[in-house]
Amino acid sequence: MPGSFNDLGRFSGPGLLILSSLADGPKHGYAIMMDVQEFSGTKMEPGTLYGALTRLEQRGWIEPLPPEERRRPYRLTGAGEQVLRQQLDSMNQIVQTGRQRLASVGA
Amino acid sequence: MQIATLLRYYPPAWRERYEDEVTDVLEQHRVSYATWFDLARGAFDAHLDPRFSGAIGAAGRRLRRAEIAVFCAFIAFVVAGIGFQKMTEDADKAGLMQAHAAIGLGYYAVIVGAVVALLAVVAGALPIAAIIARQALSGGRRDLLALLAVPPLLFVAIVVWGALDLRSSSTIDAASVRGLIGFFVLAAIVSAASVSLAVARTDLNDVVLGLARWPSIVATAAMDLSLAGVIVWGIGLHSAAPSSFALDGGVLTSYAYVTFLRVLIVMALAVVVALVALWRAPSRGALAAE
Repeated sequence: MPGSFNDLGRFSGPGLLILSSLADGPKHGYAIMMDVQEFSGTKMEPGTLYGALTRLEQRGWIEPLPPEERRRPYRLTGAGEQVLRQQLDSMNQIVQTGRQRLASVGA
Repeated sequence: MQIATLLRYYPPAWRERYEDEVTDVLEQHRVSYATWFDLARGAFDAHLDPRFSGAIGAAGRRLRRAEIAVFCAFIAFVVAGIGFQKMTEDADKAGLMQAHAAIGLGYYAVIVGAVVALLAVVAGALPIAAIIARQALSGGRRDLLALLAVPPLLFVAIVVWGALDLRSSSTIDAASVRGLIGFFVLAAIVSAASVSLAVARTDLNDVVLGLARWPSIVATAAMDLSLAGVIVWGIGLHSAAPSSFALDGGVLTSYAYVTFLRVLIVMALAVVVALVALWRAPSRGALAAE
């Protein structure tokens, strides 16, 4: 698999949101922005969206589908799904650890 | 200016692939100042990305040669300018500058021209320098890294040379100073050559090179102003105190007129090189037609 998630630099956050958005099916750019805002509250601007899309596409984690007029949908690849699972597992581990430690502080 | 016009500042290869999609998104998006900033930042990022920098055509290569020539002319101008600055340091000349308007005016024209030229060169060189550094570091380009290392290494060598001279004796003799100045001039030539080679070997595109066009023009105009200032200063000094030119007021206690003529010749040659380079540079239309 080319590259790791940390190599995305400032696009690692937007990259994770885009992969999560595409996990339930292909979407074009504007639909991704709307979906991300809806499920995370993050307002992603077009420059950041396409900066992240180009990097995800380069790593083979998403792939473009044939354009529908000017819109081009993207879908998650097998490699992208694997990376997303790893990232979410890692975040889940952080969340669990944080909650356990907070609970012990409160006890 | 409409927000979609910002997309012109993305690299051609990026625009070929994404412009339609992003235009479609922008038509539906509520544009704010954050959108402008984000797109401008995205354009800068795209230029740093080797996948989109692409190969340049004949007009782009001509523009790159012109900009390299202006940069080298500026370095020569700076070296000559340091010689000029040394000439003006003694108290007699400082007094003459205050007493005679032409001498003072010439001197301040040199300073203003030098500052403007420096700012213009920095403004024009920054995007190109960022791309070279990015390709050198992330692309593993050891040739670029080696070329970029030359100027700082030579600078350190000059500092060490000067420090060792001062350590061995409280006063530096004329032979050491002559050697140090010779090394400084050589270092400037080698540094300018290595940076020029790094620019020539980097994958740049027409947009980035086009961004440096106006700074090159401004730098050349500022060098013209400085050269005019040096001429006015020299004529004024010659009229007010002709003996100043006959004394050992030049660099390395040479006759002042010898130093002055050397400074004038180097500056004039630098200005001619920069003007010819800009004259021969391709127009914006020729660049866009590629």
